[in-house]
Amino acid sequence: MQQGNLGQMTYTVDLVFCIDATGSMNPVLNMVKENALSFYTDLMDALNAKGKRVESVRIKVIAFRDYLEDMDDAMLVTDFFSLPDDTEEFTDTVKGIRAFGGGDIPEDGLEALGYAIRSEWSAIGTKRRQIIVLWSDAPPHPIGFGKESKYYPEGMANDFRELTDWWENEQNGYVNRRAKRLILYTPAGKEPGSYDPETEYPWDNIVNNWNNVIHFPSVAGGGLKEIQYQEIISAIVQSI
Amino acid sequence: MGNIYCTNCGASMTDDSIFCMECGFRLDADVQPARFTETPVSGSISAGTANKVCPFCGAAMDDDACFCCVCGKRYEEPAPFISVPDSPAVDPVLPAAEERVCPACGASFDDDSKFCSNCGYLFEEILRRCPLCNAIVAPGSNTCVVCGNPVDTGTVIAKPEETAEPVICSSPAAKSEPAVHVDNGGITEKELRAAERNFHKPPKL
Repeated sequence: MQQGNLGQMTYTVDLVFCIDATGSMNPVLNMVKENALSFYTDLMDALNAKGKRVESVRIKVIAFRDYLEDMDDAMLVTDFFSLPDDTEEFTDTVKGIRAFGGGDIPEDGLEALGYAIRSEWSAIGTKRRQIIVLWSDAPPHPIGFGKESKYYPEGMANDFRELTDWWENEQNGYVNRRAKRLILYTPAGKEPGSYDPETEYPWDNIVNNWNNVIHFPSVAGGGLKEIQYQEIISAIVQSI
Repeated sequence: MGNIYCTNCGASMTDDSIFCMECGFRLDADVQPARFTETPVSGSISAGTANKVCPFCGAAMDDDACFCCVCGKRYEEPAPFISVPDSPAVDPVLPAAEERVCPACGASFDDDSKFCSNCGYLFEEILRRCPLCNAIVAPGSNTCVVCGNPVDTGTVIAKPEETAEPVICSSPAAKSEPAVHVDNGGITEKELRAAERNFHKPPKL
């Protein structure tokens, strides 16, 4: 762990990677895995270039699919990895994610987001950052779509409004108003007015109505053809 | 091992024979067969030269032997046996079991049997199957009577389910691996183990 200089503000950065691990994500999943190898180094280099001193970096991974299709493989989570100590374990774990399943085009990304918001965020550091990065090439099912599955979690937000409350209402104690950041790498929605944004394209609803959200549009259904990795790093750095 | 000769017909036999392989005469213990100690007569039975096996006891036999020198039963060339469907409605791939009979004793046998339950005849020695329709092909025949497919007369064909290798991946690396190989899309065993070790079901909310 790095020692902060006297008078210099230190940051504690917690990252949660929500990765769509369904079959169509296979090309981008390989790129995410490659990026994971250098993620910590790149992030630290970028932060140091900005003169920001990071005391602690932790990363947690959530691999999500589709409750109705993938049953107990629909939602898999790790504990937080402490970097750089756990770099190899973190990297191997991310590289060990297999892309399969998914069934229909929408996936259960909102449930993954719910789990990410409810993470056990670090309580140390003079300045904290709680950053969620979500990659998906698909729109999400409406939250609760997979309730028929016996693996669907109890206690999940009942609807999109409750999920919004988890993110926005600091009284819940889930995320900190100043610390939270959400980076979405998800498909852009259809033309406004042509769909119900709460049920068909919640990604747009999140981008337009939630605070502290950064969105990198991807192409729905066709897999993420290109990850602008440096843009994500840059977005994380600028949000710190 | 010396050579002895049948006291009934004079045929040559090994000194551990119980029956004469030419005439089937039982060499009783109280009847001393003629014994000579000269150069062994060619044609004596040995495991390395015998091409024929007694269908009753499995003992090696000379090609021209008519009787087994161990159990004394008469050896007959296996009668060709074929499977013929009852009717066109019957699946030609797996003909009804009761239509197949042992070529040695005539008893019916089950499709999966390796030996005749009546006389112990070793079916696998002659059992071949058509590679196209899986029907049993008669010994010596070069054509499947069910589908007409030409069949190699020199090859014993086991049932497909017994020989099929459960290979999923057709990559060159998989060919050298005896176990089932699953293509993990370039993920190493170490990475798979790490994912299995670290990913778990989400905690209760």
